[in-house]
Amino acid sequence: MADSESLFEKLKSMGVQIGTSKIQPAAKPARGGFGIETVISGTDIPTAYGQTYLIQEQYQAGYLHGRLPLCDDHEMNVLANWGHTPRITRPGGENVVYLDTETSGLAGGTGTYVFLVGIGYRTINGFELVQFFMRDPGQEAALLAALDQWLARFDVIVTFNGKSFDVPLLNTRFQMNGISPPFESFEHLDVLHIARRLWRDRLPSRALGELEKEVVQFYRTGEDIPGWLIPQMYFDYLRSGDARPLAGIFYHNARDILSLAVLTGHVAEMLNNPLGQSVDYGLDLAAIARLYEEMGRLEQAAVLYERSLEMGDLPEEFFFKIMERFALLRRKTGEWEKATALWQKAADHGQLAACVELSKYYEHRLRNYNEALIWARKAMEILDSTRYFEGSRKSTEREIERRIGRLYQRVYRGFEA
Amino acid sequence: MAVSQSGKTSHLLDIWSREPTVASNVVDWHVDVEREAIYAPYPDEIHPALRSYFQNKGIRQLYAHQAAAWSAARDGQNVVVVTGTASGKTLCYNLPVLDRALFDPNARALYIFPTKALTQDQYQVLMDATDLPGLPASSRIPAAVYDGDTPSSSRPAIRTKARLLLSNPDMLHTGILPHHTRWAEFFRNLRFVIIDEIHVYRGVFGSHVANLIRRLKRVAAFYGSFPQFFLTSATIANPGQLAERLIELQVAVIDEDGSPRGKRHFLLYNPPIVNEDLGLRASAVSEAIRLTGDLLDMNIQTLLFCRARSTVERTLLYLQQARGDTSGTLRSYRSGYLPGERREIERSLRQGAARAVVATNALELGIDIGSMDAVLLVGYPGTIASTRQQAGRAGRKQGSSLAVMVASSGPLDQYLMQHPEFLFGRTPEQALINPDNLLILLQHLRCAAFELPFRTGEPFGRLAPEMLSSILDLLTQTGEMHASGDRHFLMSDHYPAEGVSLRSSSPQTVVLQLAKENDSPRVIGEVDYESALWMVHPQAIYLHGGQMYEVEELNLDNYTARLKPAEADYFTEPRKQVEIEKISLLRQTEVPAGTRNYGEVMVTTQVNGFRRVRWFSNEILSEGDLTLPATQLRTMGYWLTLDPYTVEHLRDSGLWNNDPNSYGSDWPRIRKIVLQRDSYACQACGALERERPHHVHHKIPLRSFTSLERANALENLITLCPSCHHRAEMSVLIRSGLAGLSYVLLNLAPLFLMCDINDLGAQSDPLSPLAEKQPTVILYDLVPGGIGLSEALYDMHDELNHRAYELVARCGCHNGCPSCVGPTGANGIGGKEETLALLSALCGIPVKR
Repeated sequence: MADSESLFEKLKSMGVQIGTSKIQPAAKPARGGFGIETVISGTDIPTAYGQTYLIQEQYQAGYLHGRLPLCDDHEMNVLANWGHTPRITRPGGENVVYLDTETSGLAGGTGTYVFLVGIGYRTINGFELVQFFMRDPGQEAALLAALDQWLARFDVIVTFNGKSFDVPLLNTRFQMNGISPPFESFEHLDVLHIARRLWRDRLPSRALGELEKEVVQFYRTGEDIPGWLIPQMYFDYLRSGDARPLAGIFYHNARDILSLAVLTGHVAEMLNNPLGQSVDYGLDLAAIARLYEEMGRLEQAAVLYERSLEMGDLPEEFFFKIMERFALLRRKTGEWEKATALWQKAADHGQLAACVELSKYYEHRLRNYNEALIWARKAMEILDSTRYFEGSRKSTEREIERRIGRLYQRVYRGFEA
Repeated sequence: MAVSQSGKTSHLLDIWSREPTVASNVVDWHVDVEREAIYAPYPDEIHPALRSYFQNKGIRQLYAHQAAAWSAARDGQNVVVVTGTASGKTLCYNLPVLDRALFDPNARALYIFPTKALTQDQYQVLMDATDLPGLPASSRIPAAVYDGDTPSSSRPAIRTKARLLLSNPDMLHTGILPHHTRWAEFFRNLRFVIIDEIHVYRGVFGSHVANLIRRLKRVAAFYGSFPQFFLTSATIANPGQLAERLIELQVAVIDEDGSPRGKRHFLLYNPPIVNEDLGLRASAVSEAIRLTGDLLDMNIQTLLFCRARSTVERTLLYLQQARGDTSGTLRSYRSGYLPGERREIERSLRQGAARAVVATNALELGIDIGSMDAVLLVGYPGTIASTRQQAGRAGRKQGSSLAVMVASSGPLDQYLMQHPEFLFGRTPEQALINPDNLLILLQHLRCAAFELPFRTGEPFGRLAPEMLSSILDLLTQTGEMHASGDRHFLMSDHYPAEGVSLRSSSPQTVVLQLAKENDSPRVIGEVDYESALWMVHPQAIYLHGGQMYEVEELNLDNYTARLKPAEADYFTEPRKQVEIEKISLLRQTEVPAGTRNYGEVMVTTQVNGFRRVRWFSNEILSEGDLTLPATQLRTMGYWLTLDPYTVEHLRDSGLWNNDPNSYGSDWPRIRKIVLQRDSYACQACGALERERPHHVHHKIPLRSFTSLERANALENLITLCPSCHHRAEMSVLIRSGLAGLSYVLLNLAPLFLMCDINDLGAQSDPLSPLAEKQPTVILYDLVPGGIGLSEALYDMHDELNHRAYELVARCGCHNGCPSCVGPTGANGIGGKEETLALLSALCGIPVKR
């Protein structure tokens, strides 16, 4: 390197892309002027590791978020049962904390920082939302220490996708700062998991934003910042010292917590009282029926399936699928007549699987091979006339062929005898 | 009657020595005599369960080097073991690791292997050794492979439970270090790091790996661990130096091989010359197949090593045809085969079902295939270390065995045929790395900062602290990092490691897309940006996986090249214009005939056209022009410059090429036009035509053109007076001597540097801007920032030039061939004599006239 040449010049002449956008050392703007306190009011609280910025906000008991009340009591036991979180049963959920983080990256890894943690919980008077913000990565240990302190009075944590994202990331941050992570003693309910089960068929996506619009019916203002922009905005803030653009991130984080809280109550209500007011759609009901079925509550599941079919709002593609599930449940419980009636109905609508089930039913239970053969042939007809087929056409075809072959022999031998 | 294996080998050798079509081509017959083992007893302190395990496996005593490794390890030293193939290197590190693991139930070890196949192989060895009889199941040491093939479902358990972890550099780079908190327990208890086959980590790859180890040590230190390192290496000139540069710790070198060896024959076989004028030899592949035939006839199991994957398939095909055997006793083995298939071939080699296997160096490293009766090297494998490792596949402990290297016509192959001592004596090969190469370093500093923020004053290996702090400051100024308190934080929303390939220094690549009808294009590969300009320029023929493609479009905005399948009877050769400027001169000394220099240079390359050349006949079919951006490479170079005295002397020596040129029937007319254009004045000295007529000179020599029209184009012609013309023609001769010199130096350099010829660039220029218009030859690192190759060449200037002189002087060709100064024709002139004259001057040897 020529003596007069700077490292920067040298790298540039080697073709290195350096810096964030342009190959140019950016002059650092003077800091201050627009610190975080000018954007959102809070206090710097002391910890053993230095200070962190803390924002507190109270919501009255009657507060409505979207169409849902923030502070209603709900029976939680079905949800608790499903999520293996037995401690989540208290109707008011005073031991429950809702948590959501904003980070410097979405991919994780040890270089991804959590710069904002929002938590929310019930209080005697209503609901409190607390946000911990680090003005600078140097404050990370302080943020974590404060969070640790604050979390001490809860024993259940509720998140949205927190099992894969927020909690592992926070664990990493705690470890990196030599503080032992508090989450091991918590029960953890990840609402994304139950949301996937409930709304897989009805909603185009199970992202929190989608559920917020469709279920909570809350619509964010233009102030909101989409999640994917957040990491870059924090970096920009660190570079410029100008916190003003961050306002939208605090808004974003707060809405996430509120939506998570009301959604959790709503889901608990749906599960506890599926036939009550909280369930509006046949598909939702059928989804709950399936959850009940998996939890071994077969009788209640049957009632819910039946009710979902009666609601009359099921899209056709799901109607027969649900009918078939229902029929399988009936078969499981030994109610063959009810099951066959359902299959019959589905078969009349050209449902292949129902024909196969009927063929099995006639072959194995009634040993009526003639009837069984008729249904098997009908299944083949349906297959032949179906252009698009879910799953493997070949293996289904082979299976039906085998069935027909076997039944044909039985029928033929039957005549001989 | 059963003939013993060595009996068969001796018998065949006997036949070959009496068979003129073989014996006359054997230029060297090297015999290593048997060597007795040097044993040492098991040290007393070894865990009894471990000792009885190895004793039951038939290892009654240790070899001397294993015992030496043990005591060095016990003393807490870092160790590099440098002994031959199959000398029990694995035990050198496994013994201390397993022993420690048995005594300390928390101790963890990280094994790093260069390939997945080798990892699997070593895993099998460890699996067996960690399940020691006589110990409770609870003291079984959990071992696991953690690489790209490890199912994600088993990863969490491996992270917490495995105590011996087997992985590779890439996985450490992207899969482990950026997630070190998940490995907290592992790092807290990390006691040993084992790096096998370190000679693989040289050049760019090695410089990356050295930085990876800096990161590893840094993360380990965060958890309070300072592991001990065990390394192994094939025989190279500088194992201790390489080891120390890689791990940046003091290393004890253990190179006294105590293992026994049977008698070994190593034959150097040079295929006969079939065309005297061109110096053309019979092909190495066909000769190797002939020899393999003899071996198979004697029922001697044979392993053939080829350099390239494509050669492997071709050789197997020829072999099967020659033997009329497709029954599966003749096999091939290379990377790209599925793991199951590879295991099957390895097994059938061990069991003897496979009689001949054609392989790439994929079989060279460690994989256990038992010992071969015979090994045939089809062409020089590229490094002496590889040659020895491949040859070492024949004959392990007792009985005589056979290795044959069949030379290709490449200069290095031919040089080694003249100089077998390189293969059998002390190796000159140095493995070079440059961990402080700015480009490579910068990428790893980002990765390291992502893993743990940098604290002020914290070191990064042996990188100069002021360099580290100036890079961190620069990254902070440009906004990639954020400084707070005494720390620098990387501000990145993704893993930097994902964008860093350990095998390349340039992060920008061009993606090769195969255009498909009615479909989104399929990606078939990528090339780095600089290479893209000359490898996949528009209309270039590009070979990939044995398939020929033509480039339809090279888009440098979105870094893609669109290819279509092609069936052409030609290949393309880029026409490059290279300009080299000096940035700084760092070292210079006077040498005979001039100076040698080392410094930083800027190489500007402009690809401005290409030629279509017919396959095999090398006939030039047509040329095309290209408009592509110039690329700049800032790197380190070694150049030698001739002094004016030498140049004058060479001119005066009258090395003159008198061959008349045929200028075409139209020449008198063209000549007249040029003379008129130039007003009958010499365009060099301005003299007007007097009693002797002026000459019309071809600026670019006639013979370098494909067509007379192009050669005789007016812009290539110039009027010169006879005396200026003489000087101009001499400079062409000197240029051709310089071209020959750069060719021979470039081709010989890899013998010393353990690099590929494509890692170096070379240029010759009779009017070089590097040296005030003096004739100069430069060799430079093709890696931006340099990787240490040029400086090493500078240091070995004398040896390099002497070797080059010997090579050219002893070459049997008439006036230059690919084995010495390059194919005739680069400048239309062979140039052998001129090159030799230059080399004599450079070596201080009187010119023989």
